[in-house]
Amino acid sequence: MSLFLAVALIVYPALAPSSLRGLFVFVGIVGVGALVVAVVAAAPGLVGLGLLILFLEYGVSLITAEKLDWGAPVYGAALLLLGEVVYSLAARHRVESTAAEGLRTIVVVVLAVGSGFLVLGVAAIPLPHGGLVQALGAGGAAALVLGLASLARART
Amino acid sequence: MPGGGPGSRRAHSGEPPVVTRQVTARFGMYGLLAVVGLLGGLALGRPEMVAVGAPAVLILGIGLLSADLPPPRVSISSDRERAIEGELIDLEILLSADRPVPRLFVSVHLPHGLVAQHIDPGQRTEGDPSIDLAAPLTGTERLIRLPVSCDRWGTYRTVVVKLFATDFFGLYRYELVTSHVIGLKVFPVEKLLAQLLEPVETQLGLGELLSRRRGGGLEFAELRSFTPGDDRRLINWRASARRRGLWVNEHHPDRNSDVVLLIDSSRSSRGTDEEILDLVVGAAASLASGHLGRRDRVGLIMLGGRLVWMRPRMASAQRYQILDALTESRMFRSPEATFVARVPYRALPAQALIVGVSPLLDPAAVAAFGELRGRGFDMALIEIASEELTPPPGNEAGRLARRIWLLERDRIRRRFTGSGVAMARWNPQDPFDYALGEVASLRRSMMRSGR
Repeated sequence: MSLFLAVALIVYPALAPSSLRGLFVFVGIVGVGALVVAVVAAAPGLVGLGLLILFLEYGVSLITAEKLDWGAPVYGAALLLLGEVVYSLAARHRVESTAAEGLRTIVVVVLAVGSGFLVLGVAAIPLPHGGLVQALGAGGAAALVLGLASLARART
Repeated sequence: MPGGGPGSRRAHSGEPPVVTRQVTARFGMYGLLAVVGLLGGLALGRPEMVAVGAPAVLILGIGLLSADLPPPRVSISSDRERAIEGELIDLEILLSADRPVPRLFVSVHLPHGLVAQHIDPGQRTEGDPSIDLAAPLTGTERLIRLPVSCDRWGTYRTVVVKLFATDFFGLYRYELVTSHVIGLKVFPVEKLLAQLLEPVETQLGLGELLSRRRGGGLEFAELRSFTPGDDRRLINWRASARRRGLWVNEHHPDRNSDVVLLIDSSRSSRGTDEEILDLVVGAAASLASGHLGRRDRVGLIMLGGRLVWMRPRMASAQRYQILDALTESRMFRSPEATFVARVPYRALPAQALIVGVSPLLDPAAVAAFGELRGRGFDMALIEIASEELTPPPGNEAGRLARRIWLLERDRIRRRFTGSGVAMARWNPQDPFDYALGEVASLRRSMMRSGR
């Protein structure tokens, strides 16, 4: 399953009408390579790097896109699912999967699809004062990042 | 609460263990996706980036707000306190917490000599002797039984257990390291010996040895003429009919002996210490069991950095005391002090047979054996052929050094045999009986020749 997901995540951004398709595929292969290294070297720290490279490949492919990509939530769910699978394979304690691990994977996928479509749905609503909405969005994003950072600091 | 048998003991470490919490790589992964999704979305003006990063933000938020795991507790007990080498015991690991901990892993670090059984290869990590077990705590308590094979004799005091737990999203890793006292003693296997050594002089206690003296016993010694006061039941009527006058039978009394086992656990720095110690302890256990079975009084002296001695006694209690002492043996550097001066008089009774088992690698141990012989003790020595355990040298200098070493060992051997010590080399590939038989045969011939 992880192989299928990896191939899908490499190919999906390359489907965008762009002259940089070859570069997208190359970057995607680098990202998946990082994930393979994470599994082989049992280094879960590399999983984030691999996913980040794949995510950046997708982000760059969006630059030239004109319409909203409604496949983004599915792409995000696949990205997180691949991350979960690779992380389990790379973890030091290779013990049998429990029902709780299966439940976590399902919750992650549902959250990814649900929140992704919600964000896209909100983004698709035409609003006046576009500049103001963008400023609010930027403030909200910054507040979220700062909030998470302070919460993480308090809990670590 | 499930518990062990009467001999079991459940122990916690003295200091209250501290649960440590650290973020996992998964935390970093979600954090990275969240930041890149949100900021990248703003920078590129693409809501798709935010859509991909949004679940990471949600997971981080939920994970951080719910990152409060009840500290798990663990205790370990063994189903018994004593076992024999090669036996299987059950280690009972009791996990508990105030609330269920669905993602709980137990890593048990068994001491060298104890090997967990029925473990899948996936539950071991290469290069790490620990055993990893998934132990989801669905209730508030869970008991895990771990079958363990006692592969080597010894005293096993503690088992280190690590508990790992993660929260629902696996963002944090909680770790608890505890050390548990199990107090398990694994006795060496006592092999049945075909023959035992006989002392020059027996003691007064009743045993299975024939004394050289005459007295009440079962074994016929000789005939002598009747003297007033002799028991009439001892008159040999057949002999008396053939000779003039009355003749009575004389018997050898059945006696026992004092045997002191002198065990050399001096460190040799040759890299074969563990193998030698196994051989020494195995031989001592077999000898002690054999002699006690013959109703001899058996004592023990262990040479090494820490002098351990036990005065000769009979009965099975002594057997367990000797086995207890043997399981505590470790290889030590020998001290410089004179050996005999440090051994109490009671540990070395007169006329005791001293049986030494030693690789004769440590000069202090060699001097101790020589000192005892010099004081006139009846002594037998079994030398472990340690040269059979060391790998052959790879170069000319090594070969020359080995030749010099072997010559030195030969000189030590000649010194002992020249002073009337019956001595045999025990090749570790052969049974101990071979060397013991050789010593017994030598002693018989030496006793016959009056040495």
